[in-house]
Amino acid sequence: MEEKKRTGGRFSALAARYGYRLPKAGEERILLVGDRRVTAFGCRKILSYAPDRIALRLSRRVLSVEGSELCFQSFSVGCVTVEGVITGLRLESDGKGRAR
Amino acid sequence: MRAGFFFAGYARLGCNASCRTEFLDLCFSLGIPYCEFAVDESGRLSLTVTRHAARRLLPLCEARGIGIEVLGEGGLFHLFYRRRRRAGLWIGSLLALLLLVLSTRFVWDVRVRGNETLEQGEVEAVLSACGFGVGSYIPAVKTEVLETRVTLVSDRIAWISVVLDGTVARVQILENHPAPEEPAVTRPANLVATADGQIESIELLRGNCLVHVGQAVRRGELLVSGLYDSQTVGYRYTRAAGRVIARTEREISVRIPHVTLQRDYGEEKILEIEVIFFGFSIKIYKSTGNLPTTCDIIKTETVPEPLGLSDLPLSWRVTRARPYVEREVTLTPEEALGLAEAELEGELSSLSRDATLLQKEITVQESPDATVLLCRATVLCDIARQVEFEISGERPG
Repeated sequence: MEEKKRTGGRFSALAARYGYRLPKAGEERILLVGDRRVTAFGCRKILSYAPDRIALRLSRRVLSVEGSELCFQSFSVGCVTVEGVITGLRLESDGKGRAR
Repeated sequence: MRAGFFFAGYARLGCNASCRTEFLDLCFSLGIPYCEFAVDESGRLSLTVTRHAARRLLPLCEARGIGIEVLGEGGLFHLFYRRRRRAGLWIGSLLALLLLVLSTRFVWDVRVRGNETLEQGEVEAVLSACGFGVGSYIPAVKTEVLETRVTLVSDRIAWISVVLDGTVARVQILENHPAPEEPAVTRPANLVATADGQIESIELLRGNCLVHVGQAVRRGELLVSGLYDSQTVGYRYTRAAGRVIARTEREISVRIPHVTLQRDYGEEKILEIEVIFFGFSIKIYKSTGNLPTTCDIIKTETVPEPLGLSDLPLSWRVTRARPYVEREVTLTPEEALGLAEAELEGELSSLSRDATLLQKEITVQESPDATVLLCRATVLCDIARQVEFEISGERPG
């Protein structure tokens, strides 16, 4: 029981079994599925929204999603999923751009 | 539209391009679920949230200066709320609910098992005579009393069990099979020929046979005697029984007159339409006006089978009138012959119930006013008939 608590419970064990690591609270993680969907974990705030550009503040950086017909597919606690035709992702740290 | 949104009630919210980021950030920070996210050409954002979420969002947006507007509302609650003034709808729903509740207290169907010679309708008629049937009020049904009453009323039902399974009455019966009345074997009888013929076979049960296979006999001739005469023990008598199968001839005549009456039917007219529900009949249409002097009345009862449910106690009966005019028509010889042949076939088929047809010889007689078919049929049949006789004096020992 203690072991389960320490490792994060059943879901963590299940995720680990299939080689998937769940993000910890506040941990930044970006999951890109093809060029149609991007899911950002550890999101704190929506900085701007336009159908061609979305800016999200993560824990330590700012994620910019560029493309067309962009829309928010869903919100959940600290997690935002954006769908549309994605042409670029940009991560900026404290206003100093650092593309990846 | 998600089903959850419909049942919880939903509101469609919209905001201008200038404040959509703030609005989305507010939704994100509150964790508000939404659907149907859309942005139009002018940049105006619209999305659908639950009514509860909309009630939370509206004051917060107002406090933060985010201009949003409610574009529309919907959902189950809203649907009922908008129709709150339609009294007919509510009364109808209430009546339907009442009917649904009350319908469980009435018999919907009667299913009879165990009947061999009795028809289901006959058993239902007996039950109906005892005050039970489709539409009976279940709490008032006393099955023990009903079972006793049915056995008293009907001679053909020896035993009955009525079990109420919900709204279905399962009726199990045992029929009464009275023993066939045996003729008094003590009364002596002979077997006598009922027609002329040549004997083909004899199945003797009792009696003194006086004929043999191949013998030609005449109508009224003694075939099997019920009397035995003996030089040693005197005479004794019995009731002769058995079958004597003989080849006999029967004559059938069919006459079709050339001038006959024929009915010319006019257009049908609906007289009445009745809805029968739980055995009660409600007239929903009745025609006014006089009926023609000559017409056929046809009643058609239709039982609907919605979704394959054939046991619903609901049906409708339509009564139609088919007026006709009788007029004389003259048949051609060919038409008359066709009719005569059809009638002769009917006669021959009715003959085959107690006889086997071996051969037939048909003669056509045509006269100016009628066509006559004479048929001589050769058949195999039982020609023996019991004829009782009296014994006078004391029976010898």
